[in-house]
Amino acid sequence: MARLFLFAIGGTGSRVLKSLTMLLAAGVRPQSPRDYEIVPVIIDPHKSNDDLKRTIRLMDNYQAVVRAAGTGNGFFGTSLTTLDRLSPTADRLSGSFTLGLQQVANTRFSDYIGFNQLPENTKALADLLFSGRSIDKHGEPAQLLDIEMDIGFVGNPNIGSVVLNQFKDSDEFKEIAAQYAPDDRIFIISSIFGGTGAAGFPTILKNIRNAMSNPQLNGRGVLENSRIGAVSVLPYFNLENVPESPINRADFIGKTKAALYYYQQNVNEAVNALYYLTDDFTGSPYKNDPGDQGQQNNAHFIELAAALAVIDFLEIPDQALTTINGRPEAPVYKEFGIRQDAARIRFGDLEDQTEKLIGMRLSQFVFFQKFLQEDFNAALGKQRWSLDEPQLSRQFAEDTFFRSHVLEFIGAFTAWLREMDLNQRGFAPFDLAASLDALISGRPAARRFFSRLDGNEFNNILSKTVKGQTYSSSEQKLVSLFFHATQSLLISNFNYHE
Amino acid sequence: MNEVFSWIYEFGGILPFYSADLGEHLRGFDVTCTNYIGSPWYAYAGLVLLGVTLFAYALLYHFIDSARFARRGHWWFTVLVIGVLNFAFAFALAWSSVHSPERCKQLHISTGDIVGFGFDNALVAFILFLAITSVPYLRYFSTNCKYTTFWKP
Repeated sequence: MARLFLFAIGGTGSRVLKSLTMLLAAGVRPQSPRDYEIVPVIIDPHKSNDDLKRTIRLMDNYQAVVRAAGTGNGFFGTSLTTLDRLSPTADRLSGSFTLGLQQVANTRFSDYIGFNQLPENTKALADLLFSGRSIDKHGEPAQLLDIEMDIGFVGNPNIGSVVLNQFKDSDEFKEIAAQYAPDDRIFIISSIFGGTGAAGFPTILKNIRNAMSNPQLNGRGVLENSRIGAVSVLPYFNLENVPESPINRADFIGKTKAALYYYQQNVNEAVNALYYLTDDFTGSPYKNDPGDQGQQNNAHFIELAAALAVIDFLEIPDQALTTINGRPEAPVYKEFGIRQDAARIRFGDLEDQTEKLIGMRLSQFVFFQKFLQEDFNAALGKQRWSLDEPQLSRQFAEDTFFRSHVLEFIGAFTAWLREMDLNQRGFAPFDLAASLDALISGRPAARRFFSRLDGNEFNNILSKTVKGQTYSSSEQKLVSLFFHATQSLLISNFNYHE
Repeated sequence: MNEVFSWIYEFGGILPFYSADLGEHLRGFDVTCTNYIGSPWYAYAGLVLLGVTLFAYALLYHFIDSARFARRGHWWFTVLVIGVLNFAFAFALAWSSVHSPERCKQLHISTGDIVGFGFDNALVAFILFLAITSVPYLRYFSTNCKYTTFWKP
């Protein structure tokens, strides 16, 4: 199976990766003749970032579900894997989704570059390049050279580009180079207005395109001509104005302009497909947290749109992504738009292609989570779909697979939808508190004469779906059955079409 | 057919719920009290019992066939309805035929016998429904009631 090596850089990278994981769980997949296994690599020095931790936890649960149920069931239909699982020789890797950045924790930037050991003239240059003030991980003002990098680069790509250049020597990069096959692809997710993402994207891109000059790499010829897509997220949220904070919204635009100018010269021509996303909607501001307080932000629709860029990239035919000697022959640049400039986006506000891609699948997953949270336990051991072999019994509901992995994932999915709903601009295609027939905002269920769409009707559909089917395990049955039943439910009640 | 039903209703003579005289009457003992050429009441009661029970089975398991009505409580409710209907029909049938002038007057039949026959009819219906719904093969064709029996789910 072909692979997509997916680099998610910084806080935005983690949040976009979270949205992508949700989409993949819901069964969204590229319309491509080839199936892809996705290998996420998160690059973020800020290990205590709550968004990063949430994303890793989410992907661990996703992976556990796929491991037990397999792919090909609709939901959780794409494999997510860690680098260490790609080959038996990769056991030196940590087995996590994150890139192990060296000498970042508890290390001041000046120590990282050996500032005190530099010759005087080089020291003067470094002093010039890295002048300015920021805050340290305790929230105290500090010289840029003196900041410890546990909380990231606090909006300073000049520091990030130095530290992240260690990527080229990392075991992870060597493993990717060794494993990279001609059918594989690479995608890089980053923001342009912060520190880590803005620095990480060009750095990683440069190291891939210049793979031939890195003697440590196996298979560098293939890697150099790899098909690379990237999404660069421009400012998309408002931020509290805190005078003492090193991060403020006014700087976003300046930093973005500077980075775009740099990208124009050094990045754009090196990427096969580059997606630029932004939103100028001015909503309620995010808490101004440079990173020392965990940096957990509500999910945002733009992150979902950025995740769709990954799907879109995988749909581009191979021949449109040809690269020779590290230079793409015909790079493409894409943006994302919605039909209506709505403050709370519903499915009807999306363009047809987007709605077709995610509308039905996300709705299916919402019905799945709604049933699991409200009707599942009452049906176990009583309804035909749970009693047919392999049974979905009360014991099954107590097992780790269901209780820890499925329910935890479902809980995160619900939280993700709620956060996007609460955010401004909001994404609110569902009324999660409503009954099943009013669950999809602006799209009520078709009227029925003799019954209503409720938990019992859902049970009916599940039992109809289970008829004549065989399943290899209870885990596979859960995932496959609910995918097909929710599909049938939406087609028959909400006028969706497959 | 009348003989078959009489055997069933009288449980092969082991468990009579009513007098032998009512049994004779239901077998069709004629007005002259000489031969069994009167109306075959056992057959009438048996055919209606079959019809009601099978219809109720089909209704619960195949026509309604709903997740809402697939629990053992619904099985017991259905069998109660079947029992009441069959009791009522058997009672009415026996009562009207016993009080008809065209019956053998030598048979001594009390109201208790008629109630006993009604109860007997309800019991046979219960057993029939129990038997039908205990055969997995028949239930297999039901979407929601495939596992619905008197004891589960």
